[in-house]
Amino acid sequence: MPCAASHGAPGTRKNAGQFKPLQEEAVGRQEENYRRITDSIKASTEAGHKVFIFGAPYQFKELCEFIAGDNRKPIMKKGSLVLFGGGWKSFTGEAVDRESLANLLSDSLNIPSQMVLEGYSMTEINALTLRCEHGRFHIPPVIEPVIFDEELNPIKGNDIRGMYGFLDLMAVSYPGFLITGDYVRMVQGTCECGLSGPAVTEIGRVAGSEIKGCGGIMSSMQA
Amino acid sequence: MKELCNRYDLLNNDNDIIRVPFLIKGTIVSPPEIRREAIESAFPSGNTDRTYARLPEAQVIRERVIDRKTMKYTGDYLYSVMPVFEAEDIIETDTGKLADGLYSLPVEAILNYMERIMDILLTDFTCVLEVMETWRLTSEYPDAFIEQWFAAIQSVFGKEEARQMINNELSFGGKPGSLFLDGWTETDGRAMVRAMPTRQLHITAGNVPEVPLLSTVRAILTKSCATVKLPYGAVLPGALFALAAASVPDHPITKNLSILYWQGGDDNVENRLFTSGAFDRIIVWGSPEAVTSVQSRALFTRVVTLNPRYGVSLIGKEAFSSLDEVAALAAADVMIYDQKACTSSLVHYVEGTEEQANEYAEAIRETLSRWDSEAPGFIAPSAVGRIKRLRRGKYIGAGWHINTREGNFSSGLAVVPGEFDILDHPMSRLVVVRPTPSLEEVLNYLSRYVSMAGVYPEKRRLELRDRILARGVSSVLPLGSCDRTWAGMPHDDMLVLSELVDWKNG
Repeated sequence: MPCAASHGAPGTRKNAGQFKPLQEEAVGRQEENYRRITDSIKASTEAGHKVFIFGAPYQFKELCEFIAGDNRKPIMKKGSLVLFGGGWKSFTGEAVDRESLANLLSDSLNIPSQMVLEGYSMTEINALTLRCEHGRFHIPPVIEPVIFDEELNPIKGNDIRGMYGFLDLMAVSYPGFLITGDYVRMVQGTCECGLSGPAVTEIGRVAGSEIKGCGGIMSSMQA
Repeated sequence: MKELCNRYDLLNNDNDIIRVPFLIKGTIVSPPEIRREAIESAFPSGNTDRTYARLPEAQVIRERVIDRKTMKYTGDYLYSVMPVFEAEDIIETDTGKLADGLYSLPVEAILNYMERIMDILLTDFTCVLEVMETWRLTSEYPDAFIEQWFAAIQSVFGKEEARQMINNELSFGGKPGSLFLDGWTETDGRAMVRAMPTRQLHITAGNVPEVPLLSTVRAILTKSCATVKLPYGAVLPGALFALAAASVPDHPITKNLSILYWQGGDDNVENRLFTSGAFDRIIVWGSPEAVTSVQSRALFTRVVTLNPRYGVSLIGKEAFSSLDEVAALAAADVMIYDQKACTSSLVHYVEGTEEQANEYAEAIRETLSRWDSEAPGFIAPSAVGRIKRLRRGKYIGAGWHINTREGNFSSGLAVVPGEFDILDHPMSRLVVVRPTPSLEEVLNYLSRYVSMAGVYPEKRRLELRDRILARGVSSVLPLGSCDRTWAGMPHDDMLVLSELVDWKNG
């Protein structure tokens, strides 16, 4: 997608120019970044610490590829943990398959598969929703989920699809009532893992407005 | 055409299931018989978003039925059952055969073909009307618009309009385009030039019949061995044309024409079609995702893109002396294709204070309420939700002027003193009004993403025209006339037929 700022048009998104340095840091210095991570894992393990690594799926995939290329699998202390969430596509748009990634992580980082966890959350929420081994993201009691239909009306039911919204009881410095851009399937009831209550089973993005005829908008642009 | 429909039970609405044929190199390919249970079970219950299913032997599109009185979803669906095909079936590699056959057709033969197609459609106009009625069930456009489009079918296939397109868009050195399409033509006494036909893949978009039909007409007029991918939302009008073409089965144009559907992004089809050498041109209309996806994958084929764009209106301070008249003109530009075309106006820049902008917005609101009564529109639930978000969130400080129908948004305006992110626009009868101290300052907000600018009054239009165009805008027309079209006109800064042929020296 063309970057609005590249056309030099005034009135374009102001932070568009900030993307390039970020991309240079994340993509251009990728090997250096991952070497720093593996060095830190090694140093922490040698110091007797457990390691907790958090990142997006595509970042973990790149880390595993780096480890494979470096031919040195780290050895982490028992109880170390890997947690990933969000970001299923890389900068280049390559999709990451969940099961393959979990297996790859377990193998590359020498970590038991039960210590490879997935979470669903976002910046505006003060709790992490963890995925159990039966594929449900169990919503903790401090979050009151509300599912909305396309017209932004709340809907109820034991197995419903819609936009994910929530009331965050832990938010004390801002009104924690948000509707996200995520389109989810939410179910109620007891899970095979033993937990009960609301749980998210599928997560996608709300589709953008469909292009009708030739009219439409290519990218964010101030008008 | 009607006989084909009856013989193979095509385009007939059988209890909300329609069998839709494809045209593949001149041959009508019918879908197989599929039981209703198999069709319905291909779509998971409770998931209204699923619009496409691929069965082993058929493709199925599912569209939501709209109640024409309330202009709301009824909860029912219309299923279009279509055949499957192999990408190889539509690729033509025998260029020698094309050079000796299709490419050698005289222009007059193409024009006669167009006339023949129009005759078939008019002769079987009851069939056309039946398809229109079926298409209406799911169309998001007002009834008046639908009827107008189908009534205007003659102008799409008019012989003289077609001749004008060729002569205008393929003109060279002051000579009419038909000479170059017919064969070698001397230009300046030294060089011989020819407009050589190409093998074209048209990937169309949108849910109006015009886009696939216009793309098909362009392919025919350039004597192309062409494939036209129909868009979701307009397969029925496209299939109707396919049947009309199949009614002239032995014509070289028909024998080299394919009109069909596959789900956009289907790698099984697209990887082969986008391979170097499969086509000479790929013409892609549509969403940013579709355009960028094709551009990135068809690296060795020339791609002509017709990007999504939008229109704006520039209202000079002179408007306040005749606000009712200006409101009628401005609303007409908003309502082009129910605000879904690249020429439809989404943002109005009003020269004046915020208070004056609100006065202007109120005048437009009244005009739009009359449009709502005369031509009630469908506001998609997603647009309703998006407008709610705008009103409650990002643009809570805007001056909102809303029309409602049974308590629901039907049209409206938002007077936004600051900048507006155009990506937020729902394109559903909502006008963003931006007060500005002078129209000259609006130039900063114009770019290649803007297709059309309607300006009032005429004096200001003529003053600003070249500077607006220099920003990348394609057309600057008088307010209220932004839907103006004519055969052979530039489109997205191009003479499109000229982009579809190879200009040869010989």
